[in-house]
Amino acid sequence: MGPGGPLIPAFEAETGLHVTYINMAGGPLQARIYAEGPHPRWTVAWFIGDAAMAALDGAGLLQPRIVSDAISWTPAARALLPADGAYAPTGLTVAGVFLTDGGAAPSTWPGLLDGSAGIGLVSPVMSGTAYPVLSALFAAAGGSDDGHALLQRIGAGRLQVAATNPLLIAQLRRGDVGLAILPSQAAYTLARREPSFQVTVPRPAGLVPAVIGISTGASPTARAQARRFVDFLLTPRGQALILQSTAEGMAWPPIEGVAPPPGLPALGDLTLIHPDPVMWGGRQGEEIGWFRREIAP
Amino acid sequence: MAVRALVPLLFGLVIAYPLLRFALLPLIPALGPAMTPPGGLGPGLGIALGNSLRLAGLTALCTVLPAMWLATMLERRCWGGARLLTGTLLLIFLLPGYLDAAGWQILLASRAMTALPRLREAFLGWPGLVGLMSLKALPVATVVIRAGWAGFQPRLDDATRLHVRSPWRRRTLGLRPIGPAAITAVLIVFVEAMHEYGLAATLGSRLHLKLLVSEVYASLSTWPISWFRAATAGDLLLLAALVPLAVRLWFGRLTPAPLDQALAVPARPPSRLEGSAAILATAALFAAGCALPLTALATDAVLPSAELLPDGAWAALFTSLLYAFVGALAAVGLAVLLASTRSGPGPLRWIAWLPLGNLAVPGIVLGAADIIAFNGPPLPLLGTPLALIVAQTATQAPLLALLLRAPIRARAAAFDDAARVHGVSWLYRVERLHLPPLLRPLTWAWGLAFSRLFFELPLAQMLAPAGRDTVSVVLVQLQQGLRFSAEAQLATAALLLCGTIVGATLLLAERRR
Repeated sequence: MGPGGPLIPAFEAETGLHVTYINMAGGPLQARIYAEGPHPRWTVAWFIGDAAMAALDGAGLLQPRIVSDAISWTPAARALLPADGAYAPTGLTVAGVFLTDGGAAPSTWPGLLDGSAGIGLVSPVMSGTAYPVLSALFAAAGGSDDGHALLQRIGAGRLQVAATNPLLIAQLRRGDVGLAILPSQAAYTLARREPSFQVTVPRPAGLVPAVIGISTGASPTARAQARRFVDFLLTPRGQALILQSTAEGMAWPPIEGVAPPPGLPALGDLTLIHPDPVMWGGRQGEEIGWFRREIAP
Repeated sequence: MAVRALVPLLFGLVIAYPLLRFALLPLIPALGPAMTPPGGLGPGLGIALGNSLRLAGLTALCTVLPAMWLATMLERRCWGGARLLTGTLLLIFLLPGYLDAAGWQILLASRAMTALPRLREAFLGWPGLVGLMSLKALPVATVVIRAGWAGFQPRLDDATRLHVRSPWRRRTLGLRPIGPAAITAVLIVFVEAMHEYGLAATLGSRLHLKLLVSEVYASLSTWPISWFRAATAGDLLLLAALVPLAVRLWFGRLTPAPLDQALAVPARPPSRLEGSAAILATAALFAAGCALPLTALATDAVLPSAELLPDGAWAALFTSLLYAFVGALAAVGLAVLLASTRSGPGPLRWIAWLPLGNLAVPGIVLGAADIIAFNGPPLPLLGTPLALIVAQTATQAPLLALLLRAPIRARAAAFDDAARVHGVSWLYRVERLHLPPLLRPLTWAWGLAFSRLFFELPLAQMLAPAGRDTVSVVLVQLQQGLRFSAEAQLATAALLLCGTIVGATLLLAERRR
């Protein structure tokens, strides 16, 4: 979730607890969690993408019922809570938005078929954070088959695949592509810094939360302390600190009474879908295999 | 004698154990982690192997001749620009691949490059990729070949002049003594290019090249994580490195000529053509390898919209400094042990060279292997600084052992024997006999390891104890968070710090020469 910033010291000052915080990319983080397996060294895992967290839950690595009933969730966030309460959303993002450098963007996914400008997408083969974008695209297009058809109709001539978000943004800057499909937090972060960039949220847009879970392997004391950290994040103060601290700060808050960061549209104005994390998480290997075969290795 | 054989053997096994376990995972799945998500081998590793071999082979071929010429200019010619060339090569070496790629990304996105579409396309295609990878490989290749020139003795030169009439034949004969060093350079460049990720994954991304190294990264960083596929791709990288390594060891056996720097051929001034070409080459290398990408980064650092560095950025510099210092010292120590192993039965000697396998695989493989190996008994090191230091030592020691092999074996053994016969203590012998002639190569080896470890990424990401991010981790987080100017500021500070420390140390060593 990016550098700890003032979030961790604020929590430590408020609770008197000591936190050790390690930043990792999503992929290596999961590799480490699975490699540690029955001897986990972690107490709390926190990243974007509920499909990967649902998989950890399915593997029995997450403690159930980690959040208190007193939290006043927004309707969008409440809909994301798993039945066993094994993880909690700490912020809401949209997996795929359209970023342009001043040019017009379509308002729907099929609208991508119009026009001749190149369309950029980050490869889910190379980047662990790109699969939520792909699954949201497929879910928004009506399912796996319709999603495949949409990408194939856009065609290899127009579809440019990059290895990472920064590389795709570089392609957009130098005009190799006219439109980049990116996670909302990356697109809005760039648009806030460089106003020539414009963000369009397509209809429908796939909702992907930043999620937090607690290890079953942690001691009871550590689990209780971890719950306090989760509760802290789900307060107005915690949400304000997330905005200042992490790379994923440009997210919609999951709790009532907290305004979204400036520059983000009201969540209620968007047409949202939530790709089923268990279903799309389970299909990840298959979908990435299809992408590797049909679009780009 | 037994202790001298056993110590490197023990160290070798401790360092090699994680990789050995990971490499055997496709054959013995029980060696893998208990939590293994579903996933199989999948297609495409054969194509990836072919592409990786082609890229590494082209890079090695494009590097070796310029490196031979630069090594000649540095070791056999006496000219004013030699220090500048050495400094330029050091800077190119210091700049880590991911920062180099970031600088070139900024340049390729600039309006100037947009106006030159053909040049830009070349940069984004095979010529640019091979060219930049060769550029990054040039410093190490040049250092290795310089060591070969250092062993060239005047009596060989005199004999050639006396017996060979044709000047062309004299020149080609004169190149023969550096053959083994050139082969070592080709091997190192080939193996390093096989697992180079930063440049290949960024500047080569438009080529949609399926490479073994990207297969390893993809298998370990996308869900479902496939240990089996990652280990198989890692094994292929190991095998691809094994063949040239065997060739190198065979050549090393053929040329056990002692190296005595006191007898080295004195350098002579270059011809006017040579001198001009060397100055032009230094300028071109400085521009392409340092000035252009660094200027691009620095421009981002001083933009009006520049952001403040995040909390902990300066602490990250100190953390990297500490790990790199200790890791480089440990790597040099192990490399000396490995390089001086010449006694003992054959199998023991070969087992002691097992850590060389660490040279052939990317850091993320070692990171994953170390997590599996050190997460429980018998070596529960995970979560302690020792896990990272052991892994850092494992990555750097093999290359240093190859570099130090010639100078260490060229020590005058007779002096040591004479001193021992006369009852001179071990400590005194090390201080007065062994260390002085080795001080320079050891310092260069330490500097090389330090600068690589200072910016090392995947191991630091996976093994650093919680709460102590290294500078490389913070840099990549800033890049992923699109905070390019903060990234550029921190990168500039890190390069200055690392360059100052390494430069000052090497300068001291050169003055004591």
